[in-house]
Amino acid sequence: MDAADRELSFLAESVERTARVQRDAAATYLDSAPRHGVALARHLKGAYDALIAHVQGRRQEFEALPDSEAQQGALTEMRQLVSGARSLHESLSWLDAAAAPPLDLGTRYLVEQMARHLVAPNAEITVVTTTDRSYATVTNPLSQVFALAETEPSMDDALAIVIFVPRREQDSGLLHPLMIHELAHAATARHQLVDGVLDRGGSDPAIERALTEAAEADETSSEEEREAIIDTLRERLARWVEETVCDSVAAALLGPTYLYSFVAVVGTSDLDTAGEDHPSTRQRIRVLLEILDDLGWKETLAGTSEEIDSWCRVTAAKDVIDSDPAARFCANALAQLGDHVCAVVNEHVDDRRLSPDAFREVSDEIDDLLTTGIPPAQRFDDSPIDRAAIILGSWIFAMHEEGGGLAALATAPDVPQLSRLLPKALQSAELLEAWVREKNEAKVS
Amino acid sequence: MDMAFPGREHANPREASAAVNIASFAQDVVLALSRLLHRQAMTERDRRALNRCRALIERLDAREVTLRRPSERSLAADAKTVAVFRAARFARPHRDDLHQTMEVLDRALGGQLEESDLERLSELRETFLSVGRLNLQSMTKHESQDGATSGWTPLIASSLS
Repeated sequence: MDAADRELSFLAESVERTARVQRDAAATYLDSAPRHGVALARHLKGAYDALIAHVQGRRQEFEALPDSEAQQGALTEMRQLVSGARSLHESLSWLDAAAAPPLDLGTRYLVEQMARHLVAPNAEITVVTTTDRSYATVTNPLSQVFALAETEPSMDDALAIVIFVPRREQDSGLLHPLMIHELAHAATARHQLVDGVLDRGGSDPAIERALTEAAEADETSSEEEREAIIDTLRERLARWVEETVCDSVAAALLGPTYLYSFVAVVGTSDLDTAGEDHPSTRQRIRVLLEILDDLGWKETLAGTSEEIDSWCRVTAAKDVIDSDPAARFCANALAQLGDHVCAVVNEHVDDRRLSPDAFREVSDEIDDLLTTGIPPAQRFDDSPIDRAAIILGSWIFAMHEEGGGLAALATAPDVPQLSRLLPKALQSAELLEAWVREKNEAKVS
Repeated sequence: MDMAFPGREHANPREASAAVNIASFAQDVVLALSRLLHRQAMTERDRRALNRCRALIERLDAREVTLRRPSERSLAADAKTVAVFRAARFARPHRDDLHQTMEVLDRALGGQLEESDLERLSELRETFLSVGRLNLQSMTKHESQDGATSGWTPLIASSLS
């Protein structure tokens, strides 16, 4: 065995050991006959099995490699696989979260129901609380590791969706609607919603012209560098479109609730700094107001809090031009694609959105129930209250408790009654809905 | 810690998963090209790697200025692969002509390789060796930025400065 053989053996053992420990955790979890996280554990086990098999295959062929360059490539690959396998260490905490779900039952029911509607009937949600990132999501997180074995998770398998929630906000029921934005990411991947927007509006000559102009902003770039810039801009715009689709889906489903949750968390950031993945906060607020106004929520927004409504509208109306040509291109193109975003979102959300009329019908009852300390799950005529209406009614109740001004967005999530009443209401509403469904089915049969 | 919404992209496990995939793809191409350079028979995996390599080069060679490229959307997961491959090409002392490289790959895949093609295949292999090295560098940087993999990293870094 020469030096290269020994080095490869050391690195391969390191990958295999890491993958095996992480695979065994998933296998042990599956052996415990768990009630949650089964698709996730299967997904993880399959991916780690693929990685181990891949490494074993590489070891077998190493001695027969035709030259030292191929051997050097194999060693570099193995170092990457060690690094990658160790980076996936966090998958163990997902299994912990599946075993002991961190959210209250009512919120879990709501998220699971939304996932079935938005993503797929076989979507499985695992919510993980975390201290190292904000709200985020990933679907079939290790699918590209699966590809090492040239097998991908089947479309028939349950989708394993992991949603990350900041540990600090684990019990902040009024901020949980941000998870619907996260679910929408899974929906965009599953249903190609971004492609839907770009297919409809991406061939607009004005956008294509702007794309060329943005790429040519640096006159010193070569033709190949210009191609690279165009590719980068295209990818960046696609990511911005995805964020906007997700904001719009959440707003369409939840109404003003999403705006309030969004501003409470994101409205405190620099309003005009755009990211690689998302437009500026100001542009996002503008889009949210447009979609809510289109859906008929203008009156509710103004009536709930004149101060918040006014702040949002003044913020959205201010036109700030980004000095970065790439961000400027994406901001303008996104504005031009706005109608297509709305069309794609409306088609996908269909009739599941909360309507202003439906909310107005129950809003007083929700407020009365909350005031008297009763979870607002059931109407006075015994029918269940729509869960999106429960959350919006709770937001409005909490904001009024906190004075109704802009600062109430920051403190409303901590109104004491809600930490008990909102989860109970969401849980009871789910049970009532199931009971009504069964009763109706029994009538039909 | 800042809790912007959404969170840091590189912390997303999908990024780590994609990096593992790129590592394997780069070595698959290196292996396939090595076998061609030594006039050895290609395996089915070699052929798949070269076809994916060709698709990658074709994407880079496209001169179309449009947002709407549906055929490419299936390569969306490859956005990172494109970025690393491009960086590897830019780092080379001179860049090969993409169109000619595709022609050479077509001949290789069709079993029509000519002696004069070997130099270009050798250059392409160097590029893919660089892809692996750059991907490894990127993964290592993320590890040290996250600070989760090794508590020693900042200490070692400061001791070197």
